[in-house]
Amino acid sequence: MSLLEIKNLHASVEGVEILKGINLTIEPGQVHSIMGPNGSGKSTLSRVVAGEETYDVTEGEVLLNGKDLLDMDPEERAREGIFLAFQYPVEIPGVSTKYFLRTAVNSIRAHRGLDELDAYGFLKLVKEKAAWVELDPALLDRPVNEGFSGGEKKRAEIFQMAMLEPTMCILDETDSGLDIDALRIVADGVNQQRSNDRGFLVITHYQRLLEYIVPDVVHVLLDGRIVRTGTKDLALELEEKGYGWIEQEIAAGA
Amino acid sequence: MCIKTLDNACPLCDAIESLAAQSLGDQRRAACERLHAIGWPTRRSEAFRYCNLKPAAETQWHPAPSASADTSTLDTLDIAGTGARLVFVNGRFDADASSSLPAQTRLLGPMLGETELDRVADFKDDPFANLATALVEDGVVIEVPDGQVLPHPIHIVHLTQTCGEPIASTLRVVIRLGRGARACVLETWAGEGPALVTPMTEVELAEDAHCDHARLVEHGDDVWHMGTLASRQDARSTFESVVLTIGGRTIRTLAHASLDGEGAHAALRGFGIGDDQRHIDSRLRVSHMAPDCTSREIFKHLLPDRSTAAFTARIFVNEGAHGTDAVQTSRNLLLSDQAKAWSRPELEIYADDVKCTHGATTGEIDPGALFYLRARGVPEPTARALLAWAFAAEVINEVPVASLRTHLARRILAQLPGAESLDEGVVSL
Repeated sequence: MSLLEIKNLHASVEGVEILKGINLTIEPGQVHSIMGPNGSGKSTLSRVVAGEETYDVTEGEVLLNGKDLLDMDPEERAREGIFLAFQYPVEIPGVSTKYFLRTAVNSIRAHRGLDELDAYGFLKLVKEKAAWVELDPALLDRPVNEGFSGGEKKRAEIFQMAMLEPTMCILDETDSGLDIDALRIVADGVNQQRSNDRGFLVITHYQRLLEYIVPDVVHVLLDGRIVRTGTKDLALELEEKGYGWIEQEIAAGA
Repeated sequence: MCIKTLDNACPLCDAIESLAAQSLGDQRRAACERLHAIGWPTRRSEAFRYCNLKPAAETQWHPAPSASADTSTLDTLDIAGTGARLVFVNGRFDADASSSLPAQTRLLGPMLGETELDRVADFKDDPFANLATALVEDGVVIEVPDGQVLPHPIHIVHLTQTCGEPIASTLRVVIRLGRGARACVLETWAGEGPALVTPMTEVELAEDAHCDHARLVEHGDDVWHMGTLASRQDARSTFESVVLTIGGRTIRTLAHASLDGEGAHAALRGFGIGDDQRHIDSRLRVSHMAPDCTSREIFKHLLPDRSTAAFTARIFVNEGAHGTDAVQTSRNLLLSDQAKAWSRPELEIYADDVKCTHGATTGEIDPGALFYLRARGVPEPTARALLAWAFAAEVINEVPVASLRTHLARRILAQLPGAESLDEGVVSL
């Protein structure tokens, strides 16, 4: 069974259609990348799959391990194994990162039939996973994302991903705003989590990230549709020529 | 207040008049006269525009009978880390329920005749402030000499205990700190109604003095709490106050902080949780009378059901009070379609080179933050409770006294809508 299947997905916000029939299948162990210009619908796709309610899904299906995701609340999707690393992680003053994360981890563990982690077990896990992304565990005593630098926020997202052990990871422009060192740290964190039963959907603007997280499949999203699918060479071609040539080819073909 | 006419008796007025004959003659009588002249306020009065007092105005209030404190109630109100606990029931001291008085503390009752009341408080137009003076029988006077520091917070507990009849009671707390002196005074107002209580606290701080103050309002649902808080500060003194409202029907706080000496600092904070028809009304005035004073006002309310909150606050900057730095913030989180909030910041500035900022927001739980938490597997009710907690934490984390901070957090957590899905770990910030 495929890990994630998106079939003819249409979604709109306030009556404006953003996704116009997306088809995408990710097998366990694969890394797919979606590239596309601003406004093509990349972030919308990630948020629709994660369950944000601002978007209306007007047509289509999203299946995770054969289960219908569109019928589920965001928290149910997370428990089933979806993880979205946000482009702009939300700051939540007044709630410590540790408390929030312990609540999240235990809620997901309960769903998988595992015991709640006690304080000791939780801290042990925190220490181990924080090291993967070189995140100072002292940051986790701070309120969620508050006062984190741009790079710390992105590393914290990948750290949370490691803590929650999802099966389908979606990274929404995780590279934006990162310098080259931070990018390498984040990519290393992601690569450590690659495994045979886990899938990744890496959304990015630039080919740069894909030098570090090497994808199996690259898709190009334009105006709410996937218009090209290829190997990592497609990303290199885009880097060189921009998106204009694809637009022209489509126009010529039409 | 007064419904006394030729053919309508008012037990409360009778009580006030007989009190006036005994002690505080002129002061009490003057307050009484002003009270009668003002009468029960209606919504037409600007100062009570958001306060529906009709049910209270239509109640026949009685002077509160003497009673002794219910110890099981008292235990639930304890605050860890406090020193003396002084208990008052229906406006009178309950020696059995109280600890011994610290040296710097005297009861007001026996010295009512020779104590100057309303030395700081100047709320002559306010009916409830007048009622507080007309009706006062007891209270606490805390006088800390120059340079002395009270090692532990003093906890003053006021309980209302009725025998069925609606009762009115008041209590006066007077805090006078000498130069460089320091004290922390906590008030808890609790007990069931029907009751009308009019707390009044007057604070005088000499140069470099520091006073931490909290008023915790934990009444039952049928208590009308019409409180006042007045402070006057000399140079470089600090006043840190917080009002926590988690009980009562209508809770009004009329506060005036006067920064009279150069470089003084006052913080007025408030956090309230609505419930059913509860109305929380805060009317604040901060007067910057001298140069280089700072003030911070932050009032936040969490409003479920049909609860309402009103915040009217004025920053007054006197001529010559240059270097003033005043910040005023009002935030309301509406948890239901029927909840309402009003915010009215007012600035009156007669000096140059001042920094006054104010901000008011009223809104619902941030859908972006809610989605973020849910997308990580946190169930929606828990996520909502966490965000409600986060809203409260901003005010609580500013409170400088650690033991008070913990107590406030626990109290809020016990009343927070949806808090059953959180555990105490959330407090440890």
